[in-house]
Amino acid sequence: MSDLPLEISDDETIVRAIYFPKYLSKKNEIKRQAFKAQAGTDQVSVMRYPFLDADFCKSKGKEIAAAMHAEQFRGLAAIKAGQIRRTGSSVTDSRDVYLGHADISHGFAPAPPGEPPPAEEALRIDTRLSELARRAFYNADPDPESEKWTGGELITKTD
Amino acid sequence: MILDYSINLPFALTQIEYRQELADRPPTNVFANTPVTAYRDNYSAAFEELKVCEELDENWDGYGAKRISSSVCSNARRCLETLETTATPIPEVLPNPNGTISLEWQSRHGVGALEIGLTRYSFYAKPDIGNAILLEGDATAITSDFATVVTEMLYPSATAVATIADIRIPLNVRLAT
Repeated sequence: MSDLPLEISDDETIVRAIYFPKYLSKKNEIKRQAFKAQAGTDQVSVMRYPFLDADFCKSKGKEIAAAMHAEQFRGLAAIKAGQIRRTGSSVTDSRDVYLGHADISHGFAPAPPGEPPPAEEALRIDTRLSELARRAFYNADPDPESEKWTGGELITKTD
Repeated sequence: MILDYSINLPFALTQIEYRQELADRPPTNVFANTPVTAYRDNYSAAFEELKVCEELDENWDGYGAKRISSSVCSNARRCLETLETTATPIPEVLPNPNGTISLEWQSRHGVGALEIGLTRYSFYAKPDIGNAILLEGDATAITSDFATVVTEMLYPSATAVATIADIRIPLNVRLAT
């Protein structure tokens, strides 16, 4: 039985692994693509911190990077659940994936495979994603090659 | 880098690099902190990025992203070729998890994004101040209407009056209100 509550409080830190170049600019700014929904869904996979410590978050991030095309794990974006909710997206526990896993849901119906959403919807979605990217704090990994996280405690921005 | 707006910049202007001093001011819209695409001086970089999209496998993002089909890539290639002939500022070319390709522009005046699919495209240009312009249509026959919007809204002439941009809107364009 886990002592991790199902409910995610506003003060809880939510973490997203960041890869270069798709999610990170050359100036180390988080791109809105980091919060883009997975194919066929309106959801983004994230992790609950500090229940999942930074070592685990990094390990998961590197595991995903191995499946991606030419992407390098570079660090962890951290954002408070309350900050996510204030943009209009929701964040809920999804421990059926693994304990500590959560999903950000944007609430937009996914576009049909291979087709874009209507232009007005595309603008609304991108505005939301940009807001999330703006509110998240990029914790750069000082040693991406190592197995362990050496960047200290993860920091979030204050609203 | 100091940006000298007194210079009469050529029409084929590429993206303007954001200075950190400009980025630090409170944003008037959320796109203000969106990273500006890298400086490019010719379309070869965009075609290279398209080639990367063409070579992606299924699940290229680790979360089930769709492979970009050859039809979508062809539509995007034709679009880039059209843009190149109109001397439109060079976009960043990005794959999307649902199998489409996006061409994106970012300047100090706003953002623009064209998403290209199998049969349809959708486009918006959102200025820093003012209404967005929206376009949709047939992905196999993308005209240069949106290129005009990108150039005039996002990269207006340096000699234009600071608060007024004369934007000529094609008849088939609608404004978001």
